[in-house]
Amino acid sequence: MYRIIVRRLATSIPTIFVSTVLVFAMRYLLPGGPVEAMLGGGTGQYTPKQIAAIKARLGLDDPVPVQYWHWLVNVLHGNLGTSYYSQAPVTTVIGPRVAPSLELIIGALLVSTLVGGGLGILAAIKRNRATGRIVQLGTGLGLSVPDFWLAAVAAGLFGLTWHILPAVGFTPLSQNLGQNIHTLILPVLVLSVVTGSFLARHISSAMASALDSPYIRTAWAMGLPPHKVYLHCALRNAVAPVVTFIPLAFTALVGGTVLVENIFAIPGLGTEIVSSVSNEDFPVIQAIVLIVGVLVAVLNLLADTGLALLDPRIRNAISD
Amino acid sequence: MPSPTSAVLAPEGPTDGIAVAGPIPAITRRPGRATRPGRFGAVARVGLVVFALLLLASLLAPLLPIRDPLAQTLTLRNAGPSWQHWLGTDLVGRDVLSRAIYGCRSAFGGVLIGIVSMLAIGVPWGLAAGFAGSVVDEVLMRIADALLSFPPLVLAIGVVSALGPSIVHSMVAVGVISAPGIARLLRSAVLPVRDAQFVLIARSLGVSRLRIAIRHVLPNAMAPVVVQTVAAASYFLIVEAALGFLGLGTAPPSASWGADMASAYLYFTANPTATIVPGLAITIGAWSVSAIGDGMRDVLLRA
Repeated sequence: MYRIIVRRLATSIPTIFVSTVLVFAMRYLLPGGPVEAMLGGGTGQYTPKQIAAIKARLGLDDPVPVQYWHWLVNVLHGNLGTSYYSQAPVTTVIGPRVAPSLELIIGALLVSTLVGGGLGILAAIKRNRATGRIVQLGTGLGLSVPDFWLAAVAAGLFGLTWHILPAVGFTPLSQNLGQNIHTLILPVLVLSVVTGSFLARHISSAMASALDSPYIRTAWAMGLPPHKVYLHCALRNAVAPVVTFIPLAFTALVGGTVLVENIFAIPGLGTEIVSSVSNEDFPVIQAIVLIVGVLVAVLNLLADTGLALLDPRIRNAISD
Repeated sequence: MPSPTSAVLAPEGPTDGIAVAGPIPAITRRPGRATRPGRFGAVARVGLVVFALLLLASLLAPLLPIRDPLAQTLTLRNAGPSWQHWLGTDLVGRDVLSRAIYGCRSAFGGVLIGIVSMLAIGVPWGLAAGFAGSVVDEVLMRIADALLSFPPLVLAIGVVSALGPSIVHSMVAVGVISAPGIARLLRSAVLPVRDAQFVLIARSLGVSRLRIAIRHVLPNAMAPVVVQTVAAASYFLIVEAALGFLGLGTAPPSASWGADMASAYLYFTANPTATIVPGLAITIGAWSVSAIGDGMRDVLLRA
């Protein structure tokens, strides 16, 4: 078992390293490079001498690998730079934004796993009936609906027209649990549509191919009751899709929160990245991209290891 | 998985006894498949028709008897459906229907930019990784893993915030970010073909490696890439709208589904159609493309 974990670590450390290089390299995309971006209104008002002094002070004359090393050491010490816009450390800008986003993502993961998983099993069992086809069509549509549109329509209908749920706004968990959940119902449901449909598709195809295989025919022939055949024999094959689903869904949900948070005015990382784009606050954007990338890489590592521990076939394939 | 050919190659092996014995007697609990694999199914055909209609509408938009998508009627702002404006007007009195139809153009244009940049990078990447093997393969795949751990939308926002908002920047960024997905898929499809007999023969005849890779290996490994490209097109349609919604895509006042929705949704109670119509257009467009993709998957990969 330790061998599996060590092997997985050995492949994910280079991945995380390359992600940090990519995020570091984003600054070279800025027109005029990092100096001009930092000075804001262009370098025109500064003499070449002043620019050279700033460059030297920021360590921009060092070779690129050295610059990367300094940047990485800072990041590992929790120093993500200073916001151009508020002049505050990026960590204090981002810090309070993490909890609402995580709440949204975890809520949507729970809802989409339960509902999507249930629908997937249903679609697999009834795959040749009308029910199965309706679920297939529904999940196909669910994958095609833009979540920000659903968010806008849901806020418009439930919030502004029918006044059932709050259209915008957010109450932090620390203030009031009931209101917190109340403000999160719509965004979580909206975010769950795409990921839930995705999971339902994957579970139903994994389980349908299991249901068509000879060992299930044997199980039927031996007279096992349906619930045992479906849940005990066939559903085991749906474990792998669920485990690999979590990092994928996390990645998708992070993308989804960007817009959904903005529509529901939830003060999370999504609203922060969008306002940073309009404020041209590059360090904040860079930090958010970095956090997300590393989180996804870690989740991938956990999912792969978990899968190897759950499924002996994969475990053996790795340790061979 | 026992393939049909394994029974032919090893007739004495009992592994494929069921396949050789002929059709399996029907079990009451498992009625025959409604949609046979290997066929372009009914849903996929509906998707193809819908997509063709959208494509036609976007190409022929200037010839259609619809209103100018930029013409403002300031006396008729946020109006509901009427005979003059079938789906109502938006916040500055522009026709919602004609903007939805013209929106096809920027959507499909954006998707095309994304697809071209995705394939231009992903195909050489995957081919090189699969064909070269060893160290090159390892390095290229680690870079792919790293890129794949970013949500495309978030990384695209990062890139566009650095380069400046435009439909070209944003969709090229989305395409580049999606390229490793193609690279991975192509790499794993190249691996079995690389060692096929016809490749060995070509090599023994002295054909250059580059020519073997492009002329002999690539065409035989493209099927999963084609399917994935269509699936990506459906996703790009949504991302194009999302970037438009954030003001990082098509610049106003051009019609764009995402940007139109962004300007309309704050006036939802006054005129819900201006919000609903662009979103429906995105959904229908994305659904039709993904339905085509599912159909192609059945034809190309399950035959």
